[in-house]
Parts: sequence; C-alpha cells; structure tokens
Amino acid sequence: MAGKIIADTLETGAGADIATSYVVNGSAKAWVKFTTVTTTAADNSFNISSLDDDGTGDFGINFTNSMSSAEYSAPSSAGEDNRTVYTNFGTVSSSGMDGQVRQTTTNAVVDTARNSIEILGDLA
Amino acid sequence: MSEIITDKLTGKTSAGDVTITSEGGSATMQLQQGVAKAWANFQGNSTAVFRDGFNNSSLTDNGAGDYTVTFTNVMDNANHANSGMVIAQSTSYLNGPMIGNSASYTMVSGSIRVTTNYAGSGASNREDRIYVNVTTHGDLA
Repeated sequence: MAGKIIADTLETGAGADIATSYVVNGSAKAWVKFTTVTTTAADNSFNISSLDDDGTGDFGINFTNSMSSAEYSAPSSAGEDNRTVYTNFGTVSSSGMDGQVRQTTTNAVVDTARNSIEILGDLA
Repeated sequence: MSEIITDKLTGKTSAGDVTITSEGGSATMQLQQGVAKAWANFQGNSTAVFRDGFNNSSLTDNGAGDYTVTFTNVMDNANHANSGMVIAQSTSYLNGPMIGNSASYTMVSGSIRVTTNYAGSGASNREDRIYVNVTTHGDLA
C-alpha cells in the first residue's frame, strides 16, 4: 500500500506555503476536451465517464466520481470563432450536466470540434 | 496543525500519481490531473502583455483579437482543455467567453492560440480585449 500523509499545509524549501485546503478545493475535479462533430466524444479528459449526444450542438457530460452537489462551477470555451459553450444548459446534477454549443451571431445550436469544460467544486 | 515542507511531491507507487481525498471524504482523485497546468491574465489591447500567470514563457500578438500563449513546460499532447473569459467592451457586443482555439489553427502541445471576438462571423470580427483570462488543464509532458 502506498503511504498516506495527513497535513494542513504544504511548504516549499524556499518558504512559500499553501494550505492543503487550497490544493484540494482549487483543483479541477473534472475536465474534458471534446468534439460534437459526427460523434460526440472526448479527445482527452479527467474524471469523465461518458459523453451524451443529445442532438446538434447539444451534449451531456457524466462524472466518474460525483460532485457533492449540483452547485459547481463549469468554465468553458468553444474552439471556433463566434461560438460559445453554454454550460448548465439543461439538467445539472451532482453526477453530470448538460450543455450546448451555440453560434453567438444567430443563437443556433451548432456542432464544434474543439470544446473544453473544466469542473471546479467539491467532490462527494 | 501539521505541515509538510518540501519542494516536490512524487507518487510512491507511480511517480505521476499523488492521490488526495475529496472534500466530502468519499472519493479520491489524482492531484496531478486536477491541477491547472497554466493560466494567464493578460492585456490584449495596445501592447499585449501578461499581467500575471503561471507556466507561460511568452505572449505573441498575432493581430486583432488573436494571440498565442506559449507554455514554459509543454503539455504531453495537443488535447488540453482550455477555458477563459474576456471583458466586454461595448454594450452592443454579445458578452461571454468568446475565446478558444480557433479552428483555423492546429492545436499543439507547446502553446494555445486564443481568439477574442464580438458578434459576427469569422476572423473579420476578431477584436482586441483589455482583459483576457485563460486556464489550461491536461497532461504535462
């Protein structure tokens, strides 16, 4: 079994310190880079069990380890000019959330190749 | 209160895997995967310049609303997740995180290409923004 350390603070040899609460609370609990073109699929991810294809530009992400509540932060970006990933666009729960990619010019849902979402909050 | 003084954390079983316990105590997660590998707050208008950041070696102004943020330590692959937010500069513009790795560019492991736009179509609607924030998660090399 690997070793286990219980500590409240981490400090570098140079004297810079940080409370471990910042490390635990400040770390992203999930992230995913994904496409909705043709097949909705992750190119790379962490703590993501699956993605849902809910139609054109309409997706869902599901967590491997659930969050403690639905009140997490989900910053995002779309990988193309004038497109935006709208997170929390639909069902949001501790185990996953829905979202959409839309054209900022027309508000139409659209499939896009390079979308990113990061999840910050408390794990269950 | 306990305190660890160290310059480096390395997993015992696997060097790249240090596990932390969740806030709720019922799950564990890999510390290395959750930590942001780079972030930047930069001025995108006039002379593009970093205000603050982490793991960024340079900022290149490629033209209106078009920047390259180069990492000091490169990622393991091109499939990193990037999110961001920009300041709106007019009430006539749509607000929101209109920022990303433009489809015009190939994603690479050593940098991200960031574009900022106002409502419109294509590169002709790119526009410099005073405040641009970007964060990168993924696998470091």
